[in-house]
Formats: sequence, C-alpha cells, structure tokens
Amino acid sequence: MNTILTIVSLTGTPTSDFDWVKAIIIALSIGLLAAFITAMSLKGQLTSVYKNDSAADYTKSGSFKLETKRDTFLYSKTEKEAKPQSNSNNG
Amino acid sequence: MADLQEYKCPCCGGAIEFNSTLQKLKCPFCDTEFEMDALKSFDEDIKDEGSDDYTWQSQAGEEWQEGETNGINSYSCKSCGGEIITDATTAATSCPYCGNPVVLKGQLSGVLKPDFVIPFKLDKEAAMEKMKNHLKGKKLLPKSFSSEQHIEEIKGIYVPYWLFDTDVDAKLRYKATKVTRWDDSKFNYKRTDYFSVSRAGKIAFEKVPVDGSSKMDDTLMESLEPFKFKEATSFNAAYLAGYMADKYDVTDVQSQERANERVKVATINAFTRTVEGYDSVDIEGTSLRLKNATAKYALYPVWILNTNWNGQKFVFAMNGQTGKFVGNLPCDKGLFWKYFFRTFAITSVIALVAQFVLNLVM
Repeated sequence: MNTILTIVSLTGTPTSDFDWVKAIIIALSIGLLAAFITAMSLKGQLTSVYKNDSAADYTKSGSFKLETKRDTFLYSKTEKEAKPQSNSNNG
Repeated sequence: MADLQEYKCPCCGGAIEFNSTLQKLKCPFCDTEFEMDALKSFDEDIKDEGSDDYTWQSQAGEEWQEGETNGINSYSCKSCGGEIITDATTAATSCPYCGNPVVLKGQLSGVLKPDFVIPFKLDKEAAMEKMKNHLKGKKLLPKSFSSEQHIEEIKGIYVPYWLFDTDVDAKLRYKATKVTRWDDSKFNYKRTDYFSVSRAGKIAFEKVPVDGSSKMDDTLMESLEPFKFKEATSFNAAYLAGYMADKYDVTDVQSQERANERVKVATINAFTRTVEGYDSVDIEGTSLRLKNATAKYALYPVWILNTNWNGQKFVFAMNGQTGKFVGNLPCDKGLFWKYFFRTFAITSVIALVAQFVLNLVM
C-alpha cells in the first residue's frame, strides 16, 4: 500500500481512475488465451502422425519454370469512416 | 505351390539375413558376410518365372465357401517342413516354427517384381532407441506410459510403394488485393486495389510415393516421409532376407488419385509463392496437365512397433532409412488441465499487474 501511494505521489496519477472490472476482464481473457495456446501446444507434441498433402519434397531440382507472369490492375474501392469527435472537458 | 527362397549360408547352412549396419548379407550363426552380388544368381530364376497358379483342393465332406480361400496362401518351409500360412500379399516372412526367414519368390516375380528397393539402414536396436527418445520431453504423456507400455511386436517390413514421376504444365488465376490506409482530422480512409493475377509454367516431380498396401495405414506411412530415393538400388530379393515384405494390393491406377492430389497441392503452392506484394491472394482457377506420367514399383523399409498400454493399442513406425520416428501418444487429461489452469492463473495475474502499472505511468 505504501509502495502504491509512493508511486502515485511521484506520478501524480490517482488510482481511482483505474477500471478494475475492465482490467480483470482483460487479464482473464489474456490468461485464457495463453492457457489455451500453451495447453494445446503441449498436447500437439503428442501427435506426430499427419497426412502429407504436398509432393513438394519430390520436386525435381531445377524443373520449376515460370513462363507467364501477369498482374493486371482491375479497379479501386475507397471507403472512409468518420473519426469519433471527442468532447472538450469542462472543469 | 510357389517356391520359397531361403538364403542359406554356404559355410554352415544357417539362414542368412540382410544386415542393415553392414549393408551386406550376414550369417548370424557363423558371422560370415556376403556381398549382395554373390547371391545374384538366386535372382536369375526369379526373372524368368511366370505367374503362379494356386489350385485349392477341398477336404472330403467339406467344401470351401466361395471366397473363403481368397487371400490365403500355404507354403512348406524348406528347413523344417512346417506349414507357413500367409495372406495373399505376403512376399517375405519367417517360418513360425523354426524362425527361418523366407522370401516368397512367386510374389515378387514377373509383373510383380519391384523396380527398386531402399535397403534397411537402421536395425531393430535403433528402432527401440528411437522409441525411448520419442517418449522423452512429452509433458502431457501419462507418467505410467513409459514404464508400463509393452512392446508386443516389432517388425521390419518392406512396404510396397508406387513411385510417380510426372511433368506438369500449370496455369493459375488469382484475385489479389492491396490495401492502403491513411487518415486526416475527420476520417479514416481505406483504399483497396483489386488485381487479376496470372501465372503459368512448368514443374516436375519425381518418385512421389503412394503406399501400395491396404494393410498399412496411409497417414502413418506419409508421416514417415521423406524417403531418399538416391539410396535406392535395383531390386534384389536378398535384401528381404530377415525382414517381412508385402506385395502391393493397391494398384498404381488406384494410387494415382492420391498422387494427383499431392502433385496438385505442391504445384499450386510453388506458383502461388511467386504472387508477392499483395495483402490478400485468392485462387480463382487452375489448370494442371500431367505429361510423361509414369509409375514405378518399389519396396521401402519401415519398422513397425505395436504396443499395448492400459488396454489400448498403439502403433509406432520408424523410417528404416532415415530414422524418422512417428506415432501418436495418449494425453493425460489431468496434466492437461493442470498446465491449463497454472498458465491461466499466472498469465492473468501478470496481465492485471501490467495493466495497473501502465495505468500509473501513463
């Protein structure tokens, strides 16, 4: 507590601005995502049997020849989105 | 009845086997080694053999139902006279009575003779060692698996493969976009430029393998790739001595579909890599034409390990040439959730503290 008050007094930032509910929700979401990724990654170590859908390992060396390369511009589409205008703060 | 080929040691008469470490035939009884060429004469009669004719005689008072005798062959072991019963695809095996390795010449003759073989480079001990390494470092593997799993069977098998060579003429069309963003004081802008992209050219593939045995799981076999065809040699039945082998029961025509799928994916990936500088690329159409497509028949070496744990069967396989080891392992659900909640708790606390500290300093 003393540490927090010291930090507040040095930075001049009051802790009452901190939205604990929002912060907890964000923290739990990040925790959930990290846990899911970690656990699934560890589970993935147990699987080593996969289909090999590509024959890339068997490409004849030097056989790839690109004979036609054509990139043609068709059209453009522009979208715009109004920026939220912030209200000026009154004292 | 088809002839069996047993490779007998000229020195002691014992049954010799192909030794993967020495890459020669070796007698396990007197340790005499033989070069592959020394037994070439055994193969000369294989070349001239025609197809076999199995005529079954039904027992008195009992008739085989139609189809019952399909898929079963019977041979007499030259060493002990024991009856060797195999299925229709077995090309090499061992006598269940005396253990002598035998090669069933009739299964590998005429049109069934493989064009190539990759000899075993790694032995049974290497397979067992790879199995132990395969279990290491797996945090979610049940603790008892390593100690309690029993290897019921470990066998070296020459698996029949169809090897496809083909040239491909490819034409591909894509729709691609580039996105540019900017803003001013009032608006955020996003401009999307649309392009039509064409690519065409040639690519070739050689020795694309497709498993020619219905007994071997195709996904398991594909997981063992790649096999290095450079180390393949012309077929010599002597390489099979000491190992099991099957002839194909999936024809090259039946295997073509899988080869086509793999060639198509590789071709599309190769040409799509040349479409660069876009934010999104979607394939709109492809035209792939195969030319000079041929299929060869080969035997590739695979170690198969069948294990049993907790009432469940597990199959592991090792590439007998490169040593690549594959096989799915069970997951301990308790450990899964333990790691899940531990990571969840630690990361959530760190994220909360980080937000608090950022709020203070900003």
